[in-house]
Amino acid sequence: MKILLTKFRISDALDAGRPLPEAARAEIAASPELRGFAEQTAEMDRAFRRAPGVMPADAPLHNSIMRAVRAAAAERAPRRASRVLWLAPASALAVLAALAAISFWLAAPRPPKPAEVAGTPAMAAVSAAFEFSGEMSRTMPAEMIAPLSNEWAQVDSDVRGATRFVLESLP
Amino acid sequence: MDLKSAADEELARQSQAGSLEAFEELVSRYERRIYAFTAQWRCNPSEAREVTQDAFVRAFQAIAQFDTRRPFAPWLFAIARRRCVDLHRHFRPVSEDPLPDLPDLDDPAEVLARREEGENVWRLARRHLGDGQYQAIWLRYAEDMNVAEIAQALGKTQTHVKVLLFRARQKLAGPLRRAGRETPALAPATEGGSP
Repeated sequence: MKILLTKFRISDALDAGRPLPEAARAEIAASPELRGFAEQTAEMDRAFRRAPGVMPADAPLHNSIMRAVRAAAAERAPRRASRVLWLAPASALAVLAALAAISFWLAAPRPPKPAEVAGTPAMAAVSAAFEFSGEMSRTMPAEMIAPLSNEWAQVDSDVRGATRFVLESLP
Repeated sequence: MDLKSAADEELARQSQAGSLEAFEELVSRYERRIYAFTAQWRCNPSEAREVTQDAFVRAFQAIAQFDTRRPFAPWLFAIARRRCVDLHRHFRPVSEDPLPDLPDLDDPAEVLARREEGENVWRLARRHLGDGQYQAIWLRYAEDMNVAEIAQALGKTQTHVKVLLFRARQKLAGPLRRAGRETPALAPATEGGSP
């Protein structure tokens, strides 16, 4: 594993163009395998640098590229012109629409904010739920509740339990 | 300003401002390199020409998005690589066709020696490396890019590129040593200490 890491450092140092740290150099000197790898990669580096990798393109390649680029430029020009043509009315319309929306929002009547029942908003919500559960059982007609009396009692007890839990967990 | 002496990034800036002449200068500088990159990768010469042309058209269309504070070459190679990937399914497997011509030098003997050595080393690389490793090695040596630029061109992290280069070297060490016995120019300086 250590040998693999040192090999990686040899390769990395080659790309970074910096000398290996003293400790790594000592490891290489002590290991024939590492020494071999360092020599091989250095020679490989020289072989690749000596080997030309770039080929000449023939003239038709340059001409065909430029023909295609000019065609793309010509295609882009009318599009840009038409975009500019539309840009002024479109932005004016957008500004008008935004102004209309803002004025409508400012002029619209707002519903009054519900008054908080008591204390914190959490307390208000809990007491509202508590009151609602009692209110339901009082206001609903007995004929409606009677067939479901067991279920309703269960719901009522759940609501009360949950309410108690929330109230007790409040600081 | 003289376009011939302008930096790539300056030419790109002028291209962004609408100068087709500046872009043409960029084409002149990079067409061979992009062609070489695509031709050596996965496609035959006609496909490589098509990909090269397409890459430049894409670059021209996207030139407004190029950040002129960054180097131009990795950006362009990234476009070319993406075009290769897009067209990959249409490409034939790597062929054993001879590589395209190498640059002409003054001394014919030098040309022959370098051509033979160059073909050998790159052919060995093509034969033994996966696509990612080969591209990383190509950009490192044929394009003389640093790790950060290769990472940008290949759309990978720098660590990933370092690992690709390391694995490529590991894979090539043996074949190059064997090839060196046949072609002394490729042989390591000393043979001692190999595993």
